[in-house]
Amino acid sequence: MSLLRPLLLDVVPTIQQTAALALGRLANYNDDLAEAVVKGDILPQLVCSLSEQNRFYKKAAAFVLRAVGKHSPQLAQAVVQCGALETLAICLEDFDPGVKEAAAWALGYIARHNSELSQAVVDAGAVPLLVLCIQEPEIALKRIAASTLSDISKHSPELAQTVVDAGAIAHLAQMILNPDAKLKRQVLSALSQIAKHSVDLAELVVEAEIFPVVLTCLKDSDEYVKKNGATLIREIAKHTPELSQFIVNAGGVAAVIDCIGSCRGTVRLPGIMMLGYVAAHSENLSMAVIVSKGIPPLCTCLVEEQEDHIKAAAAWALGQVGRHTPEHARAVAVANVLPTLLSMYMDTHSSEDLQVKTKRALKNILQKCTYLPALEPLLHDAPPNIMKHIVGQFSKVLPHDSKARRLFVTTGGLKKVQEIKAEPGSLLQEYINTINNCFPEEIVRYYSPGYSEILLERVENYQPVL
Amino acid sequence: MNPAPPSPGRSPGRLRRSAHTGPGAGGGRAAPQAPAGRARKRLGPRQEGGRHHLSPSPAPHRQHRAPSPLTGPRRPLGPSPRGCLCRPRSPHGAGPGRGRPRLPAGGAGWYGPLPWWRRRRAGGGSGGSMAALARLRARLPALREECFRRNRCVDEDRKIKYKAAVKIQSWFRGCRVRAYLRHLNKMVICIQKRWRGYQSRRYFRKIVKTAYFIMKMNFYNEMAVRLKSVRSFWTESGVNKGRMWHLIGTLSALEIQKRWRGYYVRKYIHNYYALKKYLEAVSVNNEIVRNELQEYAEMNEKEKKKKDQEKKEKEKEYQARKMHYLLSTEQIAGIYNSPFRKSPDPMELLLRQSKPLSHRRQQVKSPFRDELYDWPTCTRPPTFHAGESLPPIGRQKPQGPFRDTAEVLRQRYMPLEPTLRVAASIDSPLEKARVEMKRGEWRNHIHDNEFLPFSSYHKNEKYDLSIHRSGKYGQETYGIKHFREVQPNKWVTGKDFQTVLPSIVLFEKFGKTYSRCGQIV
Repeated sequence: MSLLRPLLLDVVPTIQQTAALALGRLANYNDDLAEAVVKGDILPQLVCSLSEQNRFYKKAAAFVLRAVGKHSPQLAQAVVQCGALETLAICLEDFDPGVKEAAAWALGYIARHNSELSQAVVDAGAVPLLVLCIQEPEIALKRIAASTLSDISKHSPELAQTVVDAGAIAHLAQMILNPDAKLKRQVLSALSQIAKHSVDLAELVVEAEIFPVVLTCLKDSDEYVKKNGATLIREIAKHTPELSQFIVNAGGVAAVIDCIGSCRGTVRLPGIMMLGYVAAHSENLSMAVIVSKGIPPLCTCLVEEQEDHIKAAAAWALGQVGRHTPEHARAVAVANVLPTLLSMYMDTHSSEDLQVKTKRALKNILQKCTYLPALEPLLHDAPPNIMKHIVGQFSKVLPHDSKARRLFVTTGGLKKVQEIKAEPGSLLQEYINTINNCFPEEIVRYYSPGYSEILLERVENYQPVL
Repeated sequence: MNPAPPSPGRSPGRLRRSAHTGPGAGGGRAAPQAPAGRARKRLGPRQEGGRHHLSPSPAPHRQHRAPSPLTGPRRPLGPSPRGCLCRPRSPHGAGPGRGRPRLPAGGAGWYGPLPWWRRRRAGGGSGGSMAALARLRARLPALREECFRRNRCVDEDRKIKYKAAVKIQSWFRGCRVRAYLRHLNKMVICIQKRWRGYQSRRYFRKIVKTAYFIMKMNFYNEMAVRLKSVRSFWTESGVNKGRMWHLIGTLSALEIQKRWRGYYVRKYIHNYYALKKYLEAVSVNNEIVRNELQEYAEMNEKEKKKKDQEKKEKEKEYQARKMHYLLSTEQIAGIYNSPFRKSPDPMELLLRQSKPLSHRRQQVKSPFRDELYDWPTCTRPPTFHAGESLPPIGRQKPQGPFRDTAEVLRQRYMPLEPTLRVAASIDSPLEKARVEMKRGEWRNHIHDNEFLPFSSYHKNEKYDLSIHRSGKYGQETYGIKHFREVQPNKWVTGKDFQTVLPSIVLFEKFGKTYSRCGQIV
């Protein structure tokens, strides 16, 4: 480091640039090296000469700052303390797009770490310049500027508001149509970071008329564009029922469902969560999700995915869809997903989060489910806390429906119910009693455990009348 | 607010007056005007409406007063007995509301009649005054006694009369107050009875209302029970609607509420048909969106394919142009045109179509191009004028000691070659030197730690591992054994170059002026 330092002040400009480039590469590789760069007191020199030198030097110096700032918040803080932010902001006004790109990149890496650093970047007056950078014709510059805006606005609503006040939303919304995939990724990420904080910001994003254009992003060939598009729609849908309604009316639910069907892995996760949020708001929206054929993809997600957190999200979404009315619960139960949920709940390898979510979903659906054929298979292997809900539902439906009673007997449900051991006086016992009262006594006795032994005993004790 | 009592003021006054009329009348004889005047005066206040201060009222008879047994013949008395006789009476003029005390005309009133000597003079005039004097003197002792006797009587009377007056007055006042209290009592009773009547009527109204309401509710509920049974009976028996309407008037409140709530909820809150329509519209919309997105995805794929294809073709063409020499000729068949094939290979056809790639030199970046931009002082590359400007066509040489036109033009259009001093920056050399010195120091230091005087300052220092000594596999030779590459055999001179050359103005003009001095012949 002490060797490179004097080279930074060499007379020949190329040597200066190469020295800066070398420093940047060193710092980029490892954070210990970056720390050494900071300790070697090189940054103030770089920052000073940044303002005077030519564009190659500026690019190289911005590269060094970026490389140092990306490792940890403390190093980024050291960069900020050298007064690098003002110089970088000045670089953003340079004519050369490469310089602008390097400066925007450095600012983005610094702002990424936490909200104080983001605030420092905003205070240096970088946001309006970044919005100007977005409008430049060079694609790389647009990408980097969009990613920096996304990093700035993700920390807090005030920062997002600052970005919005600079007029970023309109430009970002225009760029959704750009064919470049990486640019679309960054733009969608920026919009979703803005929209996630509050209802007003989400409404502002929606007013920029991104629907239905953003639905085309869900059909893009790039996976991450799809993921970020789904994230954006999710952040908008989660705030209020009106926004969800708007998205449903624009056909967003269908697009997201198709997107879930076509992706694999973590790319699906935002889409699943979006469906869950939409269905959670009201029963009409939940019915809209069902009508748009949303349940089969959710079931396939639940079954196919390996990662627990995606499964948990799918279970949660199904719970939200099915919990409103018996119609909804029936739609979910018909898809034959309840046994899967139960098995996931019982599985010891599932994470705790997954277990909790499946249990809640099961409970919510079961409390409204009156579709008995789907409830039957659950009778056989449910644990007691689930069993009481199942038996409760039976006890509500059986007294009124004679055909169901017949089916209940023939499918062996009554037998199973007799085998359940419940504490007298508990709710489960009450339900069992209600069910037993729906049937004639003989049949209840017939199915009670140990009845065959009783009968045989009677046979044994019977004295034939000759 | 004293209602005028039946004026008892007269009688005491009269009583008193009758007690005192004697001397008053006596005084009246002496001054006949006075009683009349007195009477007249007294009539005034009397007519004012009855003062209860018991002003003495004038006697109806004025002139002749019978001598009372108390007073004896009318004899004018001295002023003092008269005065003391008159004292218990409230003075004429001191009554409440009266004006100034009015003295009767002539001064003779009951205040004090005319003194005896004046009276005497007014009355008689002639006749033996000495005799009268003797007579009077004879009467004097009797007079004294008479005076005392009269006073005593009057005093005794006074007490009795005073007590009597007090009694009368107190009784009278009591009467009046009692009357007043009775009156007040009557008023109060009137008000209270009115008010209480009002309150209880209000309360009664309230009670009546609640009782009515309860009655009504009971009645309605009974009707509901009755209605249900009746209605079921009627629907089973298929009675027409007309009869039903008859009963609507007696529908219970509960029934009405049930119907209304059901209607409201079904129409506005859980409107089933609207929801159904909405869901149908949603699915239709979804279909449209899905189709559009499908089209969009297909379009994207097509575009991508097309782009890939174009790229491939471009590659092929470029290859063909590069390998144009593989084209088959008349004599020799090329690689792609094997005689055993039925038709030439597509590559062959491509080769036939393509134009050979010319040996265009790659654009070599001039080594100076970038660096010249980067010099802080020189922002444009020096333009060496390429070629000489052509002389004007067919111009005859002008007559006279003129130079050659071409030379003149060359001189005129010679580009600017500024001196080093001009080309140098504006900053003063002192500043530059300072900055330079600082930089030099910074550059030449191996480390920035300042020199500490005593070794004890170094005690708690932690050793900084230098990077280029702490390599993974031990010490590295770079930085110890060798630094940069150094090749002394290539050096031009043994000494370093001087960084700044002093400028000699004369030498800079060499070859740039018209004069030919200094040029080698």
